[in-house]
Amino acid sequence: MTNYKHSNVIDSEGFYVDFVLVLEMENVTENGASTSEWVIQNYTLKDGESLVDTQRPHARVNADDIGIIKFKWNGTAWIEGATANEIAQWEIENPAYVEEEATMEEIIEQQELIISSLLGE
Amino acid sequence: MAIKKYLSLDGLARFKEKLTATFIPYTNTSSGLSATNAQDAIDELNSSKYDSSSVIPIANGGTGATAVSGARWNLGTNIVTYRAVSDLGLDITSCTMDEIIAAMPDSSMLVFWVAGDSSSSIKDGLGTYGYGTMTIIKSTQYRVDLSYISNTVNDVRIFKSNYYYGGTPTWSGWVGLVTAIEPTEYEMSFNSGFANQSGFTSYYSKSQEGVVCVAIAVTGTFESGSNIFTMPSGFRPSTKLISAAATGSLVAGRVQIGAGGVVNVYGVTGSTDLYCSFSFVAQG
Repeated sequence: MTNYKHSNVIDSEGFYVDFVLVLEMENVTENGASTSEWVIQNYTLKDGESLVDTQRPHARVNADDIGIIKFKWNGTAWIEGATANEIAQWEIENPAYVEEEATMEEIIEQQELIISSLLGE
Repeated sequence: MAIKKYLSLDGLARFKEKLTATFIPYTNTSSGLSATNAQDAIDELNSSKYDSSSVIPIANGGTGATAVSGARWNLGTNIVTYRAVSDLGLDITSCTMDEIIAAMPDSSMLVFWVAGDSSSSIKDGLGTYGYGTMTIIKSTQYRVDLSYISNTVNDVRIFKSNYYYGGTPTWSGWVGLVTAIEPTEYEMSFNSGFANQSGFTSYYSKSQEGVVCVAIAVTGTFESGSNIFTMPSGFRPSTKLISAAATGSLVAGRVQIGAGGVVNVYGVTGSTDLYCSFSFVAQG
């Protein structure tokens, strides 16, 4: 089994760029010895880019949510990289989610599904 | 009175006429010949010699030919072989595949080792399988066959390519051949706040043909649009993909893979578990 890890690609300013799989490739050299190296899969780092292995925190989903909308690595942790204006614009585009109330037909249909499941049907 | 015997000159002359190699004894112990006198020994050697003007068969250690070209052909050495790119006067760290092919004469074969410092042109299309043995057979400039076998531990891969050199060189890189190796399953690295449902392992995999399979059994507190995971580069669909999902209490929802491989969950707000599986052909 090949060892692997997931890493975040960041640019020279620390902004998140992409998410990649990194494999530890073990190869046999010409003289029969083995050598291993961590190889990024399906991505080539550009100038200034590097990898951060720390898991990203919760990504904000709407204006009511708490989290980050533009991930930035400050060297020790993920922080919000969006400016105040960018955040305001994002909140306009992603308003608080209002769940519509289910209709009576939908409620009955849902309950029938649960009853059917309990009966093993 | 002692009696002395003398040969007359006539006697010596007659003796000389009668003295032939037949009368000279020959010891055959070390040679293995059957002859026991010089005459028979020479005759025996003469009868077993090869005529230098005729062909000595391969079975007798010859070449079976009277010319160099025929000898090479008969002995199977008519293809010139090289064991390193440097044998062609090129530097493996910087030369291109075009230059290698051009430097090889017709009816030649190059077998060489590819490693981390080999040029990107040589390894174009090999991906992460950059250690291995490459074989190039050039019959003529119009027929060049290339093959490559990686020396990756536990994951050997085979690559093939043809190279048409008539006119403009057209090296288009390597094409991987599918081998009977099952795809590796990679456990998902969920975003903060989400984890594998107890007793399950969420994973994704990609076959050598590029088919991605995803199996999700995740726990967490879902909101509409929660980003639970990001599919890594190379494991994403070409366009947005939506799949049905359900909670343990049979609430239906959906999982969506969007731009950048971001996996979002919808329709299960307030639920704490979700199950889903889907497959697609990876982009590129």
